[in-house]
Amino acid sequence: MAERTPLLRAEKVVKHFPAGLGASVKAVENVSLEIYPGETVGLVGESGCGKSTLGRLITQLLPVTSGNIFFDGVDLTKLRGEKLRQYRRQLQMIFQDPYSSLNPRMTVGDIIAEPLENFGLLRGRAKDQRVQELLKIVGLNPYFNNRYPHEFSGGQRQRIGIARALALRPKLIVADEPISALDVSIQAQIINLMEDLQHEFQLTYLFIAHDLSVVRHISDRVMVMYLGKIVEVADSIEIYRNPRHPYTKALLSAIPIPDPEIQSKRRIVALAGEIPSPVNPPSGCRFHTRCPIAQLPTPCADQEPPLEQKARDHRAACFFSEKVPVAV
Amino acid sequence: MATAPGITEKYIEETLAHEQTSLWGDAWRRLRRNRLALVSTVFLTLLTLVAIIAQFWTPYSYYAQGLGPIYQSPTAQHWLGLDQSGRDILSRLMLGAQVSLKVGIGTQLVVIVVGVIVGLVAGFYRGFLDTIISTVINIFYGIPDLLVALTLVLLLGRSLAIIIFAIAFTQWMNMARLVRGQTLALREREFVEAARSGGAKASKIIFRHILPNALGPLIVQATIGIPMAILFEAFLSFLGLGVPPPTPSWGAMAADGFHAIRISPHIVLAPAIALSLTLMAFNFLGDGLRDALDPRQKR
Amino acid sequence: MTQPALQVKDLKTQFFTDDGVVQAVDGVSFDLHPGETLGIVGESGCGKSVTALSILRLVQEPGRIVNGQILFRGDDIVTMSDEEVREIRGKDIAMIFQDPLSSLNPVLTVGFQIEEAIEAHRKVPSKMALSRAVELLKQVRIPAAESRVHDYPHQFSGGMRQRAMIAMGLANSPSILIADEPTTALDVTVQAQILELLRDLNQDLNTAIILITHNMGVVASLCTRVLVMYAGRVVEEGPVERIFKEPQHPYTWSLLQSIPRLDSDRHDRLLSIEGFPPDLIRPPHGCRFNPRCQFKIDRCLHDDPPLMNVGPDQDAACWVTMRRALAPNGERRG
Repeated sequence: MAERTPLLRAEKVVKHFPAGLGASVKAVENVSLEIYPGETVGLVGESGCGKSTLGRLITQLLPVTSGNIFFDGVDLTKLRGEKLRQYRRQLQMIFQDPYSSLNPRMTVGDIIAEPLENFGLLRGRAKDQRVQELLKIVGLNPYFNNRYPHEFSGGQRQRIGIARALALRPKLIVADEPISALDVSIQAQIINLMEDLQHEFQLTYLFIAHDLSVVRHISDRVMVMYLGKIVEVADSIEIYRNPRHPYTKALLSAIPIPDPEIQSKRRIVALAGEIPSPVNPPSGCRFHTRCPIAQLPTPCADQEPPLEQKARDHRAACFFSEKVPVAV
Repeated sequence: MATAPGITEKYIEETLAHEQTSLWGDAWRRLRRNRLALVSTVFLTLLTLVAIIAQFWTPYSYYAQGLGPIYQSPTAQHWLGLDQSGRDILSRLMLGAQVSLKVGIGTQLVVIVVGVIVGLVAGFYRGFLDTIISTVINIFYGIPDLLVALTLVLLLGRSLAIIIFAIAFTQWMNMARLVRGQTLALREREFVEAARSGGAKASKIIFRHILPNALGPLIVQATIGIPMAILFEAFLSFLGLGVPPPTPSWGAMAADGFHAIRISPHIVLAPAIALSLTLMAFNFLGDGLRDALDPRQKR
Repeated sequence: MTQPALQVKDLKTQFFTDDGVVQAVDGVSFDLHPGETLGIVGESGCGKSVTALSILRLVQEPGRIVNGQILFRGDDIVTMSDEEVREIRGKDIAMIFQDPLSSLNPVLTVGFQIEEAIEAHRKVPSKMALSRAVELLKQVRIPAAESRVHDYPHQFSGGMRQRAMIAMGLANSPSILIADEPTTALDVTVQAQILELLRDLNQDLNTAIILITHNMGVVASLCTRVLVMYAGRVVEEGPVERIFKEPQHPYTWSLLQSIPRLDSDRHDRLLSIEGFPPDLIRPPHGCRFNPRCQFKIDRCLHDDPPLMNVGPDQDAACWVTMRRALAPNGERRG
């Protein structure tokens, strides 16, 4: 990945939500990342780690508290109103809940056509044709365009959501847990569809999920988030074989492998305690309260480890990354 | 990597998961199954017909006096008897239905217009506007309804329009609060986020995504508001501050007969029963609509 | 072979809805042996949860058990009086649910709720009930149990609430614990802890566990035997090693092929099961999986396959079975 220009670059992005009485939820803290054209970046972490918030900052559905997000060289955080609206064409989102992401009072055709109308792209028959073509692209009967969302199954609804995201021919699609609300037998359909579409339309994905096995499957690179911070970024094979952050290691060991023979031989890296509150995150390394290899108090509790290069295309934010045991 | 199949040979889902029904069609089906709501709907339809007919025809003139002995009990000529001035009670009751429905529906139209605008603005823009609107709503809740309505009627006069306006003045907050709550909840839904992400402007989000989805609760609220308004008007008329005579209002008719309740109870009973049945019907219908439009039923 | 702790025979549970009769569980039979960990897997709507609820007669209106027997110590739970079922619930057979937050009463302390569970079945002095509650919380590894026993549910994290639910379930040392998607609402690191806890409880207390889940990985890490359900039926049953290594039903096989595995480095295309699970008001003719099955033969379209022996202690309801479907030459014949 030598000297390519990133499609999207986030620099020191911070998002705090007011939590009353002057307190704030530090949902995303000083996150920098790059997404290169044509790649799929996976973003994993447990609930409350800030991954969905980060996705919404990148698509500008939420304003940043501070920091910059450059898309094709333009700082999105500086854009307002109509200028920002024009940029939305390039950045689309696929949502988690296929039951909540489609307006129940609109026909599927109107749902998919709406982005086209918003930008005055197509009218009349040309618009209808484009809608039917989009339905076909996502594997649905094109004559479903006059049906309502509640007539469809969960997987079909997710396809409709994908068609809507594709309507504007975006460059980057942020998919926020696109399969976690779907049945097991449907998940592969959607993963395969997303992979096919990527090849066909040269899409770039930011794939957000809590399930590292799904993320590894679809992603070229994986980012692991913990409590508002990115703690590790690596190639998806490398991150499994050679995790350099103890949290990644714990996460990997916790995911059950659907094979009883292998599973019975694996050892879980137990984490102490619970995820601390993002209102009052721990000092130093945010993971130090649960880390099996932390050296306390110095440096882990009083210094923040930077996200630094540990190997080729492999960054981790840990002072003792060489002590993290390799995967089972 | 296995080669991705081309679009043409891609598997296309041809079957729908659920049979085709429209959301409103479903609601109607559920409403029909509710016996009380159905009976209420029939009753209210008849009442509306009666009110329309009364515009063109009543058995007798509603203001003609001395059609027979005053306080006369029901007879074959006068099915509901005569009142203290010898006027035909049935004819007056028919026209009274018109007044009640005009007040009930008219008030709700005003309430919907005001409540929806105020509620949408507060819920959608939140922040400072919402704080102001919510404060005003709370202040209005603090003022006694009757006081407000009486003052308005005394200041502005006793026409039907002013009574409708006065009652709406005491009721718009319920609707505004409901619409505000719905808007606050709906604007967080993913389909609204999706619309923003698709480049939709605020007006489109409000009128295409939020309002249509708030319609169900809004209709229920308006249906429940109608009997409240009718009762309020009847009460004003009972106090002698309702629609000016000789236009008959059920409240005024009841007040007229009130002093003779012992000798000829039919004068009070006729409007009182008509009023009770109408109020009940609207409330049952409102309840039925609430169940029918409840989105929980559909996944 | 030991006497089964629980026998379910031809269970049929249906929901009488306005749209028609939903055949949620349609002829499910299985035995649960003492101390066994049995996994029931399938996707939403396959009838796994309704099966679990039926065992304790907890199916709500408009659902009804319309056929079958559920034999516990020789007595049929289906025909018992409400009083007798209540005696069994929580005492002999306990159940824990997916969402511990809604299963706990928010205005009562966790300790009080565990004490209640203890006292529901026997009279105990309140001092003893409290110390038993603390003991149970320790057993499910809640740190500082002595003080946390006085906490309210909202002061517990999601994982701790599920532990508290398990503690409540264990209050009367049941012989069977039914866990309905116990880890679905939890993060993976917490899920791993809960699974480990369940495994230890099974080994230490010899409590038989029925684990209801949609997650094949969870089954692989906890269960010794598996029941795979699809559209209200058991489609395959057997020891966990066999089911994962040599699944014979195309549904089981496809499901395992469709899940991305953490330990596979190959970015191979996943196998995708096309279509979606059927409507159980009008299930398909023949084998219920036939509209989505890529190995179906003519017979599957009209002839409903029963569970047939396909390997050591392994049954599958399929006319084809994967052994034949994957055979190199065309010996596939019905």
